[in-house]
Amino acid sequence: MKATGGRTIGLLAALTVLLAALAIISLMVGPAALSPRAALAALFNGEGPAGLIVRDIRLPRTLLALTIGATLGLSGAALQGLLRNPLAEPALFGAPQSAAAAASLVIAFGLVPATSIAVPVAGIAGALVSVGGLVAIAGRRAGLTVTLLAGLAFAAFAGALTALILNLAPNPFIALEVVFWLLGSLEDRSIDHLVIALPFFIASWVLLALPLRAYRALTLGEDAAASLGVNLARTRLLVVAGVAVGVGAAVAVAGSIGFIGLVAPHLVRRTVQSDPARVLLPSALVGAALLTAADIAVRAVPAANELKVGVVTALVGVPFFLAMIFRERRTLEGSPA
Amino acid sequence: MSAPLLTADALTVRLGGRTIVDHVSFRLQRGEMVALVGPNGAGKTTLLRGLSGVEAVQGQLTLGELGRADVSLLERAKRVAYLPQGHVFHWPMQVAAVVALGRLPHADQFARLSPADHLAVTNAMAAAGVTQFAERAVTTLSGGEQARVALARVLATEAKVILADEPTVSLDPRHQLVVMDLLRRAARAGSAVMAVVHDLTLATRFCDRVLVMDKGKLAGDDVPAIALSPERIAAIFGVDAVMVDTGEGRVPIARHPL
Repeated sequence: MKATGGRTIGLLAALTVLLAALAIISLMVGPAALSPRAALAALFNGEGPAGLIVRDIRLPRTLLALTIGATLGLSGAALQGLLRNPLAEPALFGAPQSAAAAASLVIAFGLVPATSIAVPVAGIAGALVSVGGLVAIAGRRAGLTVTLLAGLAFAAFAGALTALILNLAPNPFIALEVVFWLLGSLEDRSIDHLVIALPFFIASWVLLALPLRAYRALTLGEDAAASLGVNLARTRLLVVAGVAVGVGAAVAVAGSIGFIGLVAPHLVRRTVQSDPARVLLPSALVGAALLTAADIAVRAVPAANELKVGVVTALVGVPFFLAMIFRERRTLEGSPA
Repeated sequence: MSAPLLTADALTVRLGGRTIVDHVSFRLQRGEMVALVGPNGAGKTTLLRGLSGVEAVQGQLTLGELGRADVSLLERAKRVAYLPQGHVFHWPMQVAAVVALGRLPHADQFARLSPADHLAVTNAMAAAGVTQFAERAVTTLSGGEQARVALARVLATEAKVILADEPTVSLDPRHQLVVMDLLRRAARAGSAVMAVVHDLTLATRFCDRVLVMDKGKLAGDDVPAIALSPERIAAIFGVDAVMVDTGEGRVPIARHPL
């Protein structure tokens, strides 16, 4: 087990270096490309047009990519720990879709500006309904089938609700805004967005880190976990609240971004020897790296309309999901769980 | 005789409005291995779940010097270890890490292990004969090996009371004997062990006492020779049984349904 600890520390160190590199690249890339030296100089002295671009445009965007990615990676790992299943992911449970529907509802008909606190609160409420409903339906020992079917239903309902808002949108600007929630993007986000979302992200990290012992004990199933002193009701509440707060706030500032929570834990699980508690922190770091890299990619690809980062994560994430299903199909068919 | 490690007095468990365990009273003493037998649906599993804190119970449950009122989830988990039926391992964790899960009731908020915890894990792996698998992923082991790992996890808690639900189910004959022997050794080392056993021969050979459950109530609490006599087996299970001398004592063999 000492070896596992050493491997985890090595992994965390490598990921930290990777994140620093990605953050610098993210400050460099855009319509006005900057060298690493110029980007860092502009960041620290803030002079001239480069200072304006780096500090006001690229820095908030980079920080949002890092924090949202970390939140999504951690949410995925925590949900997987709670449900003992590597295929659990907030987007498959309709969480971002529900958050986006609720957030667009507020924007479309609530007449609040996009940086109002009402938007993340609505997003969190939407995510809470879907994740909470799902965990309630999944119940004590529901298998993957019930869980995924319930997630499908929540996602479909959120989609229908969003379609209704589009349908009834009083003007085309609102329709455009709703489309933004659906696609997910970090374009033109300001430091205000970060300020409004960061407290929710931190709350979500704390909530999801609290049941460390529970994730591990749940490896043996719910009965054994309960007999080891784990309070299952409290654990479910913490994870549901943590995922809802994190995903809801992320959607409120950046729209619906999926599949980071599925991919990130998968990439590091082997290194931490499948320990469902030890996988949390590396999953958060990989999530941050994935979203930052995706956001760099959408800026680097030359296109008339900037690609939306949520489109990219879905384009990469869904085939990844299919590959995972394909690889694990024997276990999935065989197991009653 | 010293104070019992566990005393159940009129223990009752209701699930969804139905009474599954109905005013069951018994004691578990230090050093003894007790079989819990009874037909399917008699409430054996629910009784174990109630004793181990998975299910809420009514009535009086006393653990050693602790009264029921004193027992928090964690305090109970340190004193009562529970091996559910059909050991499951949801993640391909290393065997040593799985066995260390038995130390969770003793560990801190961050699940860190002390030197005493590590020693308990090492001892439990040695006792269950899984030390050579310590670094393997638990899901790559055979069913019998996994059963031993599950048992090592329970032993690692160093609980005074060990409750095992059908620990020999789906094991080959050799592993059935190995597992029963391991449980009996844990009892002799100073714990009290209660195991749900469907194999009446195994129950008679390995256990000091047999609790018989039928329709939620305790229908017998005796030494095996009395609790599992052919007459009692016929009355409780509806099975015709004979006593056979193995050379190491007489055991019941079920022949055919009545």
